[in-house]
Amino acid sequence: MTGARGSVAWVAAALALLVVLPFALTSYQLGLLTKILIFALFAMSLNLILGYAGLPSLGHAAYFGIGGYTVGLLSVKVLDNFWLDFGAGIAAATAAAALFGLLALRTRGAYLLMITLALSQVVWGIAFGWRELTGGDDGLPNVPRPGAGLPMSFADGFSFYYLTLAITLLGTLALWLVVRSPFGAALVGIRESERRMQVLGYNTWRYKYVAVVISGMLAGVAGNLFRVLQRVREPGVSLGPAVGLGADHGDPRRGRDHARTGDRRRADRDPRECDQRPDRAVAHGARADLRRRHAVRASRPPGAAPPVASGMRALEVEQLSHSFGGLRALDDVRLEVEAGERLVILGPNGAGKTTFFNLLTGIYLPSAGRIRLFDRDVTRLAPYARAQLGLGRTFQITTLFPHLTVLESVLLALQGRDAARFSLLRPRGAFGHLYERADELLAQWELAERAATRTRELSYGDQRKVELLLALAAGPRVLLLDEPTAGLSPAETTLVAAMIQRFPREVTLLLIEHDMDVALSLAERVTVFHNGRIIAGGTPAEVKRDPRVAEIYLGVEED
Amino acid sequence: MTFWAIQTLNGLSFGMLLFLLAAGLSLIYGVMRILNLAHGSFYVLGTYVALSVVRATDSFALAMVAGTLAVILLGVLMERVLLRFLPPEELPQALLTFGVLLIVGDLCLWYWGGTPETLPKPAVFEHSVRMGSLVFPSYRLFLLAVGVLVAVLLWALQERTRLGAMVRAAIDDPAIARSTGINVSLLSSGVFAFGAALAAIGGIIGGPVLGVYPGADFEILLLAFVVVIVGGLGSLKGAFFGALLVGLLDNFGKALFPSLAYFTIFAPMAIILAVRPTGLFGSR
Repeated sequence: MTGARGSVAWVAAALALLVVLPFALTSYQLGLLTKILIFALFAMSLNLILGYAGLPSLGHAAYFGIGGYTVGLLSVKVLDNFWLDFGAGIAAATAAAALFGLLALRTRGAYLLMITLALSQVVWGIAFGWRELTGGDDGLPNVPRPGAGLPMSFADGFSFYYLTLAITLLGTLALWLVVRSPFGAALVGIRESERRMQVLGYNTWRYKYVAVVISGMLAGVAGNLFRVLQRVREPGVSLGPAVGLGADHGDPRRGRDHARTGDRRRADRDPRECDQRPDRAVAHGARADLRRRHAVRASRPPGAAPPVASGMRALEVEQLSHSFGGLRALDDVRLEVEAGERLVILGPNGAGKTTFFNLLTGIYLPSAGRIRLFDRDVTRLAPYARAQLGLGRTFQITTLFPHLTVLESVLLALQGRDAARFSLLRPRGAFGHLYERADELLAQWELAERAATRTRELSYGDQRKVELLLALAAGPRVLLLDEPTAGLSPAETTLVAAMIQRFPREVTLLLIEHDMDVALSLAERVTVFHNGRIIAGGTPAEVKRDPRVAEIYLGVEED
Repeated sequence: MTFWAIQTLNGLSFGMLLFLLAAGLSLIYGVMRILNLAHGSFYVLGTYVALSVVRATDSFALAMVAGTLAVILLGVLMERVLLRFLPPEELPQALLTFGVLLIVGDLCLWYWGGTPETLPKPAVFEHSVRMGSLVFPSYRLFLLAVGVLVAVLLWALQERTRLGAMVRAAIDDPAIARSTGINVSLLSSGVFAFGAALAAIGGIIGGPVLGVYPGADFEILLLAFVVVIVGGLGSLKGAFFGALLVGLLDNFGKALFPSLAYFTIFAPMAIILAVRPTGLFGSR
């Protein structure tokens, strides 16, 4: 708590300094300070996509330039009105971000770097080449300082500084709200592991796109202010990617640390305290409903009888096939799983078990066949959409959110199917029911002591437990577990197996497992894969007796 | 007719220069997973060194060798001293190589000044070649020939030799390549130096046509980017056809719609990106 109060004091002191400082400065220094504020806003806008969402962009300066040129051109050539020009400048930068985002987000990594740089150069090329409109490299002279349309003129450096300060603070506040919201938390999750976010039900593309648009909009605001400060718009000063890079340079790490300290603070705080805040606005009904659902799930003793009417089909797979190039990884697989059933999938390495899971969750699209989830055809659905229908999974190789704590990770998992996930401006702390539920889950699965530990610092056994917990926290109706005990010691294996045993009975389980003891103790039914086909199935006892299974799985010498 | 023939030749020969750059960029990315923004520096530095040597010795061949060697030296230094110690993440690599691009650009400006310079054409290529009613400058035909030759050599090297097989293995999976006894570290240095040399050669043989000036590094880098975006990063075939396409688009764009030249390149790029995010021949 002292930490929070301390930072409030620091912010207040910095603000006071920014307010009084102009009285002690020469006009040159004041101009410099104004410029610093503008670049700070620009850098913060870049930080949203770079530091939080982890999208490396080299073309951010384009939005800065588009904002600046729009205001400059309108005020010089059309009409000098603050609201009109400023608004149009922001709109133009936002529209450019919306357009460029559509293209850039189709790519990642090196392609994303190249495409953002190339797009920003197109903007630079227009500014530089279209002399009749932009004045080319001479710039656009005589851009007026804002005055028209405002209650007072900001024509002198002194008042313009305060206008800039006010706008920069507003922008900072907006960004601060965004990064503290469930939306901001989701962005960090996407940076840490996009694939996991998708199977937790997040439409990750939409999050990245919104982040790009917000970030472009704020860069446009900074560009607006800058053109007025400079009085002359000329390409190169603002448009050269050098500026974008200059801002990149120190920023990502700072942004990341910022995110971490922020998150840690949140994690240290007693979650219950958040719930005492008055809950206003946003999805009241949905939340109450969710709370009821969670309550039902939590109160049911583990191992109780499945409440779902049995006989309903959770999963139906028809003639599913998949090839990698010439390799037929999966061939004509047919499988039906009843709701609440626990099915173990056995098979030697390379039998197609994980490929099967990847097809079920939508990470691959099948070459042929259909997949139905609770009678709904999901064959072509995106991974996040299947997760929203209640399909969860764990991964064979543990890839948690390495830099997030256990609590933060569980919160992301809970939030994935909660109405709160799209909330952009309310702090996550205000969604008390998420914290409540996370606490409950952590206590129930004996991970409460690890709540504030970063997942990459956990022991491997604990990481596997968190892996299971994340899948469970998303509230799945069908859960796919890919070798949950792989690489664990015998003692840890027993623990994890017991954990799976205690999973709510209504959750349908499909489990890939190599450990025979674990497999047969958890299974109600066993299916055996070999060379991409299902070669046997039945109760554990039946499968044990099947000579083909003994041959391929246990070795021929056993007879 | 003459206009179209000449412009097509110009476009194709420019495309060949772009191919030299894009092939190096693509190869380096393939083996080392580094997007080398300093590739533009290699192009410009080679040309400037060649310019000084030509002025001192009057020999284009000597200038070619000196310029290429200087760039190879820079490439090896960069790879051994800077890049090797970076974490395998795009952003630090991009920032570092971009820093090198800016520094080399400024050093060139400082030493060779800001005036655009042109390399003198080797005397052999002063005349033109007549084909029926058409007259082609022989140097452009020379550029075209060099490009095709390099493409064939690269292809043969990659597909037909043991070294090429090692490079392909390193592109596919560096860890496994290492475990089969391939010295991936040495291979990386070699590939980086080779890619740098290709860029320098491109700059030097392009020097008599395109010249060299401050900012040329960035301009050519961008076009090389467009080539690999269109063709697919890490693919030789992609670099070749991408370069031809971009060379033609750039040339006809500048000849037909001078004020919209940027759009004639970037609009097709945007369309290809929208349809095939990994380029025409890209694998991932």
